[in-house]
Amino acid sequence: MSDDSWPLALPLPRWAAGSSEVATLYQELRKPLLRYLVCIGLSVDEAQDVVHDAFLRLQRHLTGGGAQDNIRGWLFRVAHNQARNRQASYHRRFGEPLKDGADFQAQQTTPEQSLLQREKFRRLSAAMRELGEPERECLLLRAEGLRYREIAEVLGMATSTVADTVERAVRKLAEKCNV
Amino acid sequence: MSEIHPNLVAWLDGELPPAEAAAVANHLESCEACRRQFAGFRETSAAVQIYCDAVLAEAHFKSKRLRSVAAFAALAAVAVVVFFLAFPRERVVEPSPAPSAVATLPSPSPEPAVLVTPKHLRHHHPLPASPRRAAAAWSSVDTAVEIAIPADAVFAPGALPEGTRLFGEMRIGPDGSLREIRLRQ
Repeated sequence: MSDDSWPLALPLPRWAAGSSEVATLYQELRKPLLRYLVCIGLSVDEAQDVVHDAFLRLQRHLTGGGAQDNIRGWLFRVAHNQARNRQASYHRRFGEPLKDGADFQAQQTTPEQSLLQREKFRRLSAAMRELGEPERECLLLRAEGLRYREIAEVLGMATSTVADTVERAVRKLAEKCNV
Repeated sequence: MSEIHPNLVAWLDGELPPAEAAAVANHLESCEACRRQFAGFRETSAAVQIYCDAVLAEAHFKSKRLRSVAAFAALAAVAVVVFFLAFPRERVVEPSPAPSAVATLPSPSPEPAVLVTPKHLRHHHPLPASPRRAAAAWSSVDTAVEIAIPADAVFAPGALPEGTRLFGEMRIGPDGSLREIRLRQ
């Protein structure tokens, strides 16, 4: 699925239109941010609100002469903290079992393959829910392409801790899912 | 599992310093178990990315479905309101039956006790003419119902003088709707 056809593609907010730098970052990072926020339990509407707010803060941050290194980590950290503040029902909503009919993989060809994929993802979904919160968050941020250093900044932990946590989480998933 | 190299995931993610990365690469060349484990880690990592996409797509699907249901519910509510505004329904109030206790209460006054007719005969009998009813100018096609109500059923015992009786009068139109209701002594 190309980025243009992505159903969650958000229109460029008016405040971002004035800054080409923020607009570029918005186009590049809106979907990873949305995906991360939804994966940690926010609804789509909440996630969109948080993404918009994070970019609004970025606009103010840059306008105010804030540091411009590691903007991606900065955005994820702001969005993560806002999501935390909104998540009174974080644990209740996280990890609802995916529907059997969810379109997990577009390349599914035969019913047997489709069934196998669904079973595999059902186990993966269950294994993800069994992970500890830091493990899950590290994995989700890693899946969005963040480096260990950036993950450490977002979650407020040491880079070496992130490396250990990611290693442990991937091992657990691999053992439980046998994928 | 203990023999598996501890930094396979970090090596997969390109997070190791060059010297450590080279050591892991050398180890993988000679260790079949680590190669298999590494392949599993890589597949798991790819599955997590697809999982994230699936979660987002599912959330989007639910959000759209929720909006559709909410829009349908709002439309249905509007349709119901419009229907009732366009076709107002006249309220039909069933007269409440008089308590049977009235018939058994001793009447302290010299007036005869109220006769309580059976329920199926109680309604729709015309009231006898009286000046008060004539003043009300009721339509000749309306039906009047008179129900005797013991005062104790309405007021606290002792609130009214003993022997006081109340009568509920209802005027019911030909279409069954309640036109007027009165309470008299």
